[in-house]
Amino acid sequence: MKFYVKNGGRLILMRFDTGAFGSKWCGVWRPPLKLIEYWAFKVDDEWLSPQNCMGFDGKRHLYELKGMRVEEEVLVGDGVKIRLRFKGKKKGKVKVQMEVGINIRRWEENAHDRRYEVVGKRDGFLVKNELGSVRVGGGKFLRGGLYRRHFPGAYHDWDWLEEEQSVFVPGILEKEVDLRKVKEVTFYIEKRDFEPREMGFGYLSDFGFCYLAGFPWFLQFWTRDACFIMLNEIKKGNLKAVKEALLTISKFERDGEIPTKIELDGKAYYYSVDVPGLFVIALCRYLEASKDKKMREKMRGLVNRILRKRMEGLIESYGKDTWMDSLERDGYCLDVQSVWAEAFRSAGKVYGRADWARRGEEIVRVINEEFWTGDFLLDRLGEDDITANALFPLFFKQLPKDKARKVLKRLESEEFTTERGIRCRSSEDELYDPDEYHLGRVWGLLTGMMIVAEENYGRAEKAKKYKEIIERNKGSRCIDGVDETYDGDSLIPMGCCKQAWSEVWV
Amino acid sequence: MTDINLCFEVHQPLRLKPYYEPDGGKDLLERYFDMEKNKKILRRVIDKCYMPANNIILKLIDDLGKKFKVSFSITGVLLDQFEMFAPEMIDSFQQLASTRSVEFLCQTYYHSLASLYGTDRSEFVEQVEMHREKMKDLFGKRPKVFENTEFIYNNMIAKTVEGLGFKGIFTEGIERVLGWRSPNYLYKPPEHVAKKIKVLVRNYRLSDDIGYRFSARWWDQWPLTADKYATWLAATPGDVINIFIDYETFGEHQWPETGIFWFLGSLPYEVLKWKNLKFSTPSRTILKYPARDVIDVFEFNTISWADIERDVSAWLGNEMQRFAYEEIKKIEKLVKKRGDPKLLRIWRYLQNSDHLYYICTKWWADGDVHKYFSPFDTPEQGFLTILKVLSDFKEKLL
Repeated sequence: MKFYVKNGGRLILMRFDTGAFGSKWCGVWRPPLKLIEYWAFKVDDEWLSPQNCMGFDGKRHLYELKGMRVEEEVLVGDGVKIRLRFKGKKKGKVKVQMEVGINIRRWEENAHDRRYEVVGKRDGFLVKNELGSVRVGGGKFLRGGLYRRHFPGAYHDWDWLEEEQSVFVPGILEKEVDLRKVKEVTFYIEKRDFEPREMGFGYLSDFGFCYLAGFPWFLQFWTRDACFIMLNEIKKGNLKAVKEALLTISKFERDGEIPTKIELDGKAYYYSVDVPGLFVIALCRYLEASKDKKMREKMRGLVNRILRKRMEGLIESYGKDTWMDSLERDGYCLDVQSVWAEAFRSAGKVYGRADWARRGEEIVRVINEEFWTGDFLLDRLGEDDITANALFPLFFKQLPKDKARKVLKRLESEEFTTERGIRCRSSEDELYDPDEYHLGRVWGLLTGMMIVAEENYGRAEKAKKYKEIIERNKGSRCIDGVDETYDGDSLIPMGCCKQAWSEVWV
Repeated sequence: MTDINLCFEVHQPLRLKPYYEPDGGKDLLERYFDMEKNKKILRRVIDKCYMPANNIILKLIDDLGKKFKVSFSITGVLLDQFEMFAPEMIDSFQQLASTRSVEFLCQTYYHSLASLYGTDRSEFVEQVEMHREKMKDLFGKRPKVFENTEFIYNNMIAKTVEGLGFKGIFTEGIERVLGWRSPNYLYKPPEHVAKKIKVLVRNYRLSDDIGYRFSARWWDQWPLTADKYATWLAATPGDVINIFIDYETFGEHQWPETGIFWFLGSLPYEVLKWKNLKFSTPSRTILKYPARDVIDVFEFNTISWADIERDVSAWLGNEMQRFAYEEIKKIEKLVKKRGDPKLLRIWRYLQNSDHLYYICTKWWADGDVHKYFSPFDTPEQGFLTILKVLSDFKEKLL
């Protein structure tokens, strides 16, 4: 059984390939709101259910009913179209009924007590509560009105938190189909006519386009993740989308700070030490690739505001403000210095600012001298943690070849490299804990960074090996998705099942 | 997810001879300390407690891997005795260390009250450094978390310990300091005292459920089973639950017949049945969680984990204790001036807090605990003995 996601850029459908809506994350979302908990079809007296679902080809679920087969195809964009196609020898009329479980709630909520108002329409209904509304159509509306609670999460093996959900069933949509004349029937959510889209991780919010971090639950713009996505999208030539994302994020810049997270209702959270630096890097890579002079000038002031605050000393971290945001990494972190060194260096080059370039080189010098242990790099100055953050200076090509080879050798060893990719912490480290988020799990992000690190130092064969790992990881829990993390020892997939920064590398 | 830090204090004092013997020989260790008795008691505790408990923990780690973790705070005094009488125990703890599921904490080498020696912290610092180096030598890692003798804690101790580079310090989670706040979070000293060190506070109720009440038939929760205890842990909100007990609880304070070893062997499995619980170690907890609030402990309000008062009255509560304590302190200059490591070592063994603990005269329930541990018949006998030893030792120094 696998999870799948159809991201139409405005509405998002998440479901299992058996046709089940078996998790609180399943259903139709318009982030930050969930709209639909599930739908279910009954053809005459038989439900289309996981029990008679014979397969899913990536586009269509196929159900085997008495005397006929039914294909259910779902198209997503600004709306959702659900097409049922009837196949087989059965002739005559069949009655198709659609039950829709409405659950208009915020992303962070679970069960709630909101009441709904239902307005009957010509071919369906509109249902609303104080958060929003959703239109469902395609059949004659037989009004009902049932409030109930349920626990959709039957898949405990995945370790997803599954909580009680509230569902409202406003009634049934019914349509009689004469199979002699018609072989297909369509129901819809929100819009009847729209252009279906497959947006990957891209999302068109009310305030602009950017990238979602992962499915099922990272339905926000996490800008750190977005920056890593952009670095790859630039390489793939998707410059238009990257420019849109950069512009969207730039709207939230405040006094030289870039938010770590932007919720899709426009609320922004500023709490990272590295994200403004990553933003500058992504912007400069875009400017180098696109030669977009207008954009360069448009962003000059913003880049200046970001960099001028950080012209002195090393960049200090407090609390959980690094990418390892489950850890309190106070002090001077290697990954942070590395990001800022690259930000200064690339901005210096793109904007022709020698002072920025010098500042970047100075931080690189500190990385090479103060963080260097003889065969590896410190995770933080004055601390003895052995982590995969040593990858950052390799990713940004900040080490000379001889040092890089030593670090890569260690990262390639069993201490870090597993069949699923790179562990965030050495298995030899005192605090190594394989199932802790940032104390031992294998990360898709790091595995991807390793590809670039190997390429940066002319080790194409090794890079290929890590590419193959990501390819192999694809589809373990989510169709075409690469997991966020894996247990460092058992290598069981953990976290989100389709994480953007795990899969954009291939 | 709540971290469970299961921590064990492992300590055996070097007991004085119950009666001072003026003709006790030239070797001061033999002259003052009852080495035969110490050896005998150590052997008993090894057989009844340390070895079987270590073996159970090793098996648990074998079976559960990184899912099960514990921490030990072993005194230097005990490690010295292991080296003298039972080196196999060092091997056993080294075997535990090699699993990397075990964290070793630091404390004062001689389990002393040196942290209370006024503004001059040099003796305290030396003992801490000695212990830290011993841990590094024996177990390969310099500890990052400190547990002062008997959880004695105040702002100045926190400041000194931070200055020594420790990331965390343990103390008792008592209401006198926490007020309405829960012991199940990390705290920090006031900003003007220390900037970075985090304070781990012991959940004394849940700790004492095992350490003291486990076999108490008067207790309405008797018998305590592992599944019941795990249920309590699972129902306890917070970032971390610090269960910190004497290692001697297993087989010594609580006899094997009480089912305490069965409890130890079952508890991890029961805890791991709960998705919101995870075994951890103090260093991991410190890296994961922020300090949620400040605890401000002035020196006149010093905390410990001893007795009902949870202050330093277990060692400095009466005139005899305070007199002996001052006498021990007075020798410092003399002994350090002599520069003889053997004499220094003897003086430091005399600093062991247990010698003062035995002189306690509290007449209520805690008195029984003091009596239970004491090699002396009465506090006065303990007082006279240590005075005579100190007097003799002083003569040797002059």
